[in-house]
Amino acid sequence: MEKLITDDALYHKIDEIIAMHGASKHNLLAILLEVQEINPNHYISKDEVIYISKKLDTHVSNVFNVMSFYSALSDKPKGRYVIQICNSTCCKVSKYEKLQEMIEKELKIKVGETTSDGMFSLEYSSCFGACDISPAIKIGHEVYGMLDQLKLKRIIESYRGN
Amino acid sequence: MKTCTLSINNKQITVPEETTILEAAKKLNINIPTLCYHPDQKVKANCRICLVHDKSSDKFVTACSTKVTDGAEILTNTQEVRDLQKGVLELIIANHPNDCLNCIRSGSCSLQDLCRRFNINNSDMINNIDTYVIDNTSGVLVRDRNKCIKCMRCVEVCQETQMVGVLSPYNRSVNTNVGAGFNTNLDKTLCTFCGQCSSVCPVGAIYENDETEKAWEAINDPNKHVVVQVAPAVRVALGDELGISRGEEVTGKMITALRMLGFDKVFDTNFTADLTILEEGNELLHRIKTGGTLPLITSCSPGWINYAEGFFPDLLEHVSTCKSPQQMFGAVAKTYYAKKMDIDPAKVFVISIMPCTAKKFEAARPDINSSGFRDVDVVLTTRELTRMIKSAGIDFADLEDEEFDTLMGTSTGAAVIFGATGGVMEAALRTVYEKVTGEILTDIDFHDVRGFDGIKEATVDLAGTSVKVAVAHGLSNAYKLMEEVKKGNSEYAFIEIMACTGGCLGGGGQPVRSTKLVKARRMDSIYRIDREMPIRKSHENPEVIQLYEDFLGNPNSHLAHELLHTHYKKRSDELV
Repeated sequence: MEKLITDDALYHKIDEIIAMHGASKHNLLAILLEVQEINPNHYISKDEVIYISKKLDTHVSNVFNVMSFYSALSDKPKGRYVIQICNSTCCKVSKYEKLQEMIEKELKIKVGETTSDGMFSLEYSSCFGACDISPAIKIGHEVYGMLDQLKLKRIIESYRGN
Repeated sequence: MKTCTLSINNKQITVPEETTILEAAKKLNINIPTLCYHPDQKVKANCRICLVHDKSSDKFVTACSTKVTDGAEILTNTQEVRDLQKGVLELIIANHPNDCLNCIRSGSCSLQDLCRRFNINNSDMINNIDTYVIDNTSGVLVRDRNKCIKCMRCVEVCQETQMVGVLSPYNRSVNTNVGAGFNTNLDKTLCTFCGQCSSVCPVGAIYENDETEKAWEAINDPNKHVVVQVAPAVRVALGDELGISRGEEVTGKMITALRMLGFDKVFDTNFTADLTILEEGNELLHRIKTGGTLPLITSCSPGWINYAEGFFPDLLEHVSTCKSPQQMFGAVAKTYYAKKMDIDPAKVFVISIMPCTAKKFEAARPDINSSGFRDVDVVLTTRELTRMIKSAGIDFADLEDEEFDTLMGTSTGAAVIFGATGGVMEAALRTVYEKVTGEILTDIDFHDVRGFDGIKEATVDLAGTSVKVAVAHGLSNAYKLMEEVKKGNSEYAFIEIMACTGGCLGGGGQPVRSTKLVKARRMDSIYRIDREMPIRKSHENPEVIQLYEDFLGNPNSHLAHELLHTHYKKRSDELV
């Protein structure tokens, strides 16, 4: 599998993450989440999955099983910033659909898509506990709520500026 | 032992306390419907078709996973239970293609059986049938995800029994399905093609690539001389779906049926099983004498070869260079036989009947053609031969017995036991013992290497040297022995490995519903054939002796090496 390693630094980091958690398939989920985090496109490539499965002495199919089970994990590249719109009960009551429409208009993409400049991806999320400020969105670790058109524009621009 | 007394449909029964409701009901001659349940596997309880009414708790419980309790009152046949079970069934078939008419499993499909049982004519359910592309990239096993009912039997076999781990569930909820990592097509995976998944699948979601049309075409081609060979384990399984009781020996009827189908010659793979023993026995003795790589490991099982090449590529020099009996047969048929019969070898077409799906893969290996032609042209599984016999309208059960053709049709008791786990080892020991000691072996039954234990071992005294040998069947057991070899602490000189549980008699190409019970019957039949054989040692097979005298020279001669031996290589890194 050595020849699959294209980015030494990335695989070095994966090794560190595995070492920190312990090279056991029981730590698979924690390892996958962290590996995804260090990837600028918030996903785990097929080569990385194969590498991790070898390291944890488990089958590729088992890692893929976990990857495909959790919506938090992706095997396809996403934008630099992933905007998650909560569509659980409270945000549904607070009409997240309107918010979704605004974002889709602003970014010119639909849920499940990535902007052509690779900056933003849009997806649904289940509740992340921001019911008090619903409808809410999450970008990385930041949560934003009580959004109107203007606020939303500003937030998106702040990320564009980065 | 603690027992529980309970009532099922108002009938009292006392059973040991660990019994499930399903098992207890069976004792009262009540068959609760099942789909994901398999007697040789873990309880999964994911199909929910076995729901019954536990009156004491007033709950509906799955009979396969619920243990009996003392004083329980179980109802399996009330209107409520029937409606519930039928409802579960309707939900499953709403997501299942209803193309039974052209489904390969029609007639041996558990879902179809249940539809008849519940008298499903019309369902109010709106069908929601998947439209996945059918994967026949391997040409060995066909995977139709549309028909998958997510019972997860194939996953257990692939992950645990075989430790190959190609098949796994993926996605969740209504999108759940079974496949290889990243949905890779089977030809790009480390699949060993053992076919055990196709053997446990209750429906038509994974099955052998049917090549019966190729066989018919060859038979009906006047320019082809079609020679058929039959593997040892087929003769104790072919009757299963042809009106004979399961596991009974049907050699004579099988030969008659093959002649009726139109094969020009009906030969026995057992003949080349005997030949294998002479080649492999010599290889073993040579390695022991010259300090060669030990343990030597058998190479008859193509599922095992694929596993070794995929998972233990650094240990391939341990594997015997002998081709499998199937391939040896092809090579000898297109040289020795063609010469003896004065037939153009290009016209000789070899079809083999195998209990195995991996044999299809083996026959198609690009480098297995040292005679100048592909050794074996078409491989049919026991299931496919069953299909041909039915298709030709042959009343199999009433056939008279006939004998194999001569020249490559005579065999010994040592050859027929190739069909059972431990058989190759026992056959080899019978020959190697006599070759080494020069004495006649009086007690030729090596009971230590027989039976269903996953790993068996024996110690044999060969002229003062004590030699340890081992036998493994099921790839998870092979894995254990291979780990020892890898670490360098294997104490064996010779190891037999068969990919499938029970050996070839439990092969992935055998009639479906080959439970452990059926396999045990097949095993009994195989050892009975051995006992009743006039010759029981491979080196005494007169046709094999003649083959060496007239053609090959000696075991491991230059010609023997060219025709009967092969080599192995690591499988591609690209496979997942």
